Amino acid sequence: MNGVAIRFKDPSEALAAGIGLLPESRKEQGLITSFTILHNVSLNNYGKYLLGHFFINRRREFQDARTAMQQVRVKAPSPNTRVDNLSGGNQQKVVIARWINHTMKVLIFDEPTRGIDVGAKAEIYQLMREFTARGYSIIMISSELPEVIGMSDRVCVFRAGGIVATVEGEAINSAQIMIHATTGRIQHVT
Amino acid sequence: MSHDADAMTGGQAEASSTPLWKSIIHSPLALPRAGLIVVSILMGLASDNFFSVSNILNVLRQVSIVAILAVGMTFVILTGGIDLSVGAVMALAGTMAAGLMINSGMPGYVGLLAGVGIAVGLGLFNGLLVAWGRMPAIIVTLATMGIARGAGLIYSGGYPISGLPSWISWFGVGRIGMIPVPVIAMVIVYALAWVLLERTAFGRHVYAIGGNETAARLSGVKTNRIKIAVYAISGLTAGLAAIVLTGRLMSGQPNAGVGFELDAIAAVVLGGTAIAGGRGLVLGTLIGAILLGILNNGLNLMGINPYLQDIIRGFIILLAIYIAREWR
Repeated sequence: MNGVAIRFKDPSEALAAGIGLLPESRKEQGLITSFTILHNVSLNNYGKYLLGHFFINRRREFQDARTAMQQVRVKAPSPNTRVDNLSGGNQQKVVIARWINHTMKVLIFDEPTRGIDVGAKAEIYQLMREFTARGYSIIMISSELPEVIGMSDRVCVFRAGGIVATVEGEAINSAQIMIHATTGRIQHVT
Repeated sequence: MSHDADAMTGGQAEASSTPLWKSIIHSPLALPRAGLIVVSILMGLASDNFFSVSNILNVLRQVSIVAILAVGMTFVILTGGIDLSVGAVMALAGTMAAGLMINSGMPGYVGLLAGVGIAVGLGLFNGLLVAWGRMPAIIVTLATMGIARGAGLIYSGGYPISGLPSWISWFGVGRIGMIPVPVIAMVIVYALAWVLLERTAFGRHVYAIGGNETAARLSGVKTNRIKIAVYAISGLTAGLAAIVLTGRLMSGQPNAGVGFELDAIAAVVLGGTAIAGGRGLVLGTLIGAILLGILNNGLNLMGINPYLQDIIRGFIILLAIYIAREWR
C-alpha cells in the first residue's frame, strides 16, 4: 500500500487500511440476503452513524443508503427492500453501493460480472470507471478476456498459481495475454 | 415482504404505507402473539382464576428466571450458535454467591457481583472457544455445562448454602408497589436487549453473523469479537437470573436450574427466532417465555398430572414450530 508491502490477518484490518473486497460469490460471500438493501449497505460502516458512540443515527443511515443506491443505480423500490428479492445484477450493485458509501483506496473486484446480464454488466463497468475517476484503485480478478482487455491499465497474467507476465498499455491485447497464459513461466519477483 | 424484513431487523418507518392488519399479519411476531392469545383464552375458559391480576403477576414472576436466561440465549441463537450451559452457570453463580457470603464472610453485594462475574467469565470462556477456537457451540457449551455443574457441587459439597442476609430475598420475592421485583428485572433486561439489538451497530452485526457470517466477515465486520460478546451476554443474563433465583430460594442451590437451558431455547424458538440465526426478535422471546409460563400455570390450575404436562408441552412446541414452518 503506497509502496509498502502489508499483510492482513483479517478483512477488518484491510477495511481499516482502506481496502475493500467485492467477493466472487455475492450470495455466499457478499450479501446478507435476509437483510434489506439499507442494512447491507451500512453493514461495515456504522462508525459513520453512531450517536453518542453507541446508537445508530437511523435517519442519516437511511439517507446515505438511498444516495449510494441511486449512485450505483440499484433498481428497487426502496432501501428497505430485501436483497433476496433483487436480480443478480442489482444484488451486485448493492455490494458495490456498500463500498461507494465508504472512503476507500483500493477495491478488489473478484469476478464482478459473473452471472449477470449484459445490460447490468455494462453498468458495472461504468461504475468501475466512476470509482477510478474518483481516485480509487481497482484490482479486478477475472477470467473473461474481453473485460480484462476492456477495463485494465495493467494486466497481471496468472498461470498455475503464479504471475507469469505483467503487460501494460498497448501490449494489452488478447494475443499477448493468451500467449502468456498458455506458455508463460512463473517469474520469481522479489 | 419488505415489512417483514423491517420488523425483523429494526428497519425504518418509511415503508409503513401498508394497512395495519397487514403489517400485523406479516410481522414475525404474528404467530407468537396469536399463540399467546389463543392459549390465554383457553386457559381463561378452563380456569376462573386465570385472568385475575394476582395470577397474571404470579405467572410473570414464575417465568422471570427462564425469561431472563432466554434473553442471552436469543443473542446467541441469532448468531447461529447455542448456549447449553446457562442453567448450570446460573446454579454455579448462585451457589458461589451464597458461599462467598456465608463461608468467606463477604458482604452480600460483593457475593452477588462475584456470582455475576463468574457467570460472565464462563460466557467469555464459551465465546473464546467458539470464536477463536473454532469449536462447535453445542459441544463447547455442553462441556461448560458439565464443568459449571460439577464446580458448583464440589464447592458446596452438594448441599444448599443457606443463611443469607434477609435483604437478598427482595430480589426474588420483593415487590415495588404491587409488581414483583423479578418481573421488573425481567422488563428492564428485555428493554436493554431490545435497544442493543435494534438500535446499535453491535445488534446489526449480531443479525448479520446469523444471516451470513462469511459475508459479514469479508465485508470487514469483526465477527469473532461479536461472537465472544454474545456468549458473554448469555453469561451475564445467567448471572442476573442467579440473583433472582438466590433471592427466591434464599440459598445457593447447586442443583438448581437443571433443564432451564432447554426452557430458554424453547422460549426463543416459540418466540419466532430462527434456530439457524439471522432472524428473530427479543420481544418474541418474551412472548415465548410467557407462553410457556401460561401453559405451565394453566395446566397446574387444571390439576393435570405433572408428567403428562411435560408431554403436552412437548407436543405444543412441536405444533408451534410446525405451524411457523408452513407460515414462512
